[in-house]
Amino acid sequence: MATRRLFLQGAVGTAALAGAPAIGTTLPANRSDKLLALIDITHAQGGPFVAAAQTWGARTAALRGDPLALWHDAVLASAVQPAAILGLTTQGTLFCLERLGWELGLRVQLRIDHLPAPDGSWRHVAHTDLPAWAPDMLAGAGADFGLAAAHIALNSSDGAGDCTHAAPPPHPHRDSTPLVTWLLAAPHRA
Amino acid sequence: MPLPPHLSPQLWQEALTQLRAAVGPDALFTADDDVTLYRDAYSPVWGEAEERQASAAIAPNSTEQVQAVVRIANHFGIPLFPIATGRNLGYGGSASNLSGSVIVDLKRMNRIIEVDDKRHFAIVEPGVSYFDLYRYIQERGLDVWIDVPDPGWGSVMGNALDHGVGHTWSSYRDHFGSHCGLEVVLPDGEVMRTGMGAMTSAKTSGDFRYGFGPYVDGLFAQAGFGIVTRMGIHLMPRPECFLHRRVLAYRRQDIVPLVEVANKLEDAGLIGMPLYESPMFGAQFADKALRDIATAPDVWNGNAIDRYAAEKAMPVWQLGLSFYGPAEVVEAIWRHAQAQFAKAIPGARFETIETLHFPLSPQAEEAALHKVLIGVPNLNIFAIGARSATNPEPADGHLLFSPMVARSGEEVMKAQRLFTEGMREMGADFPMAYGPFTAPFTWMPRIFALTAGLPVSRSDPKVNQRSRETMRRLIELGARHGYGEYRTPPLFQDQVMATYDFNGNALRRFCETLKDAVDPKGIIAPGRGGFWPRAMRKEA
Repeated sequence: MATRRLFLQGAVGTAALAGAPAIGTTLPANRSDKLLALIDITHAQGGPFVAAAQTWGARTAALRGDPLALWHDAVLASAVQPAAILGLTTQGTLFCLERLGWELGLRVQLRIDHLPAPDGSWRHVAHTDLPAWAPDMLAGAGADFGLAAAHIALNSSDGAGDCTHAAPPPHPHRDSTPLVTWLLAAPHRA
Repeated sequence: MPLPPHLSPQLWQEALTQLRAAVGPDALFTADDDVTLYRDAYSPVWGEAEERQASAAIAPNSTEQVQAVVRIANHFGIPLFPIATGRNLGYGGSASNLSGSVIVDLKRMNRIIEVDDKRHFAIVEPGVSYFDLYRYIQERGLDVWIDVPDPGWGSVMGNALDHGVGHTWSSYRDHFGSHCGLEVVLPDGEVMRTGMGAMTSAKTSGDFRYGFGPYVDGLFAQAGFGIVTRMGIHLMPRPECFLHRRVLAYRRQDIVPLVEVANKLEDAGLIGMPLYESPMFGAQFADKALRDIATAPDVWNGNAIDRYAAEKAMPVWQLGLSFYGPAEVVEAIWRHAQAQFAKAIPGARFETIETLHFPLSPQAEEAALHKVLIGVPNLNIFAIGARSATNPEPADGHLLFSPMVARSGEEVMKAQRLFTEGMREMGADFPMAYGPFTAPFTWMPRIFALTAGLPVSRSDPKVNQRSRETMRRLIELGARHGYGEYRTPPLFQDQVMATYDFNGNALRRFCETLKDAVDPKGIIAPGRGGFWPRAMRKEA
């Protein structure tokens, strides 16, 4: 059985995506040491997402569905409180993380739902404006959209949008599991 | 956000100034961006006029601060709605019964006062979650278990005060039933302790719940008679061993002896929570032939189901059994249980699901199949991405219809048919809700909950309209046949309370009399539990 540590080690060095823009251009660079990525390793898209986050200098932590213990260990008990948290998880996990994040003053600032179809294709639904290159990158990645999703999350501007209480888009294929890419960060206040 | 009812903007600002002074500027939330977090994510009236919206939220960090908040609210006539951690999803979340209420968020009161692993109790503040208490016990190697709901991120105290439930022994999974002693800030700001806590010198508030005189603790559950700021709860000694075993039964009528034997075992203290399921529930959505059987008018005689079960070698029912205790003892009880089921149910089969010896390593704990059965709090119910009988699509959330059904197989089959045919007559098409494979939930001791989830949406008002209309009709239908709700979101609490109608709703009228006496202005959670102070009653 793959442990979390083995999974994360294996993911390092697989972050190349031809034609992609450089990682990390709009999140403030001085926050990279306070950037945490939480990734559901149950799903194949998780590995490249982890690698991209690590390349940018983020701490990474893996989970399998349930984020409760990880939140305590990687966030609450951590010596370095993350200024922003991003990830690729199920929608249910994000529902939990969004509410846990509220306790730290964090809000969902970016949300892209990834909806699988029976033919193996994926539809991507963003709740905020994305960079102009992002939709094509996601569409071109097919089922292997983990790296593209990480690039978009890492290149999104915190405060780009408020996705608080965002509703998951309709998904009629009840035997498949939608995923979601997200960014939790402190909102900009007027 | 709305203002508190009948309060001028000027007085509201004065009240906010005083509230801010009482708790500090960082603990009063008035910005829309902050107050919106207290909306019920599972609200069946999301974005509609009926949605309950708070005017502000305040987060005191001590009983003294709660007293100050209550006194200020009393002076200005501002309704308060206390929440512990606000995770009461499916039953209202952190939303109040009355728009304009100030949410009293007790999360910052998160101290674990005491855990005694020799006398087996804990004393906690409202903001202590199941996970907090679990970690506290684990980190100190204490010899006790907690009983956890599914999911396990909520408040130990808040869950108990909403009659929440768990998954182990009957003595522990009724969380209000296992509480022991309360500290309460009353509507006038005075602090009261119940049970042995009412005696200043007593050291037994976590041991003996009654003390002397009337037992008033029930007034603070599903009701607005005070803000509870501390609670004791009895804990289970950590067992040596856990067995999870399964009984398989292949005829529809087998539910009758299955329940009878399980009742006897549980009420004798031999097993933990029985876990009823039907493998045919999920199978019907994968096999059209079975779905056709399930939806045929004559399904209730069981003949077609039994034929299908025989052809496919598929059980109609399966019953999970939990055993906690010394290894030789639980193995002996399992042998006894098998003999009882084999005698009562010809053809019954038995399966071994899991055997665990405690303490578990972290790896073994992570690998445990059904964590709530061994008191490990988790959020898997959200994270698995799958939908179930109580988690239908769309995935935004659900509201729960939870009628209480007598603990017998006959009654389960009768209620299945009633609610299935009732929903069909309503034209309500929720295939996940009711049918011949709906199994009873056993969270609450000595009663079944035939719980169904109705979908809610934060983007499609039509879904919500359909679900709440169905909910109202199900409440009415259930009550006509004696199936009362045990818990419901604020939107339905007046209706549910009205269904408890013995002697002209004497129960509600008594609660109103008490409310008029101790909280005539409706300062603490007016409407909670389906009763209001005189000034707010509809007939007033």
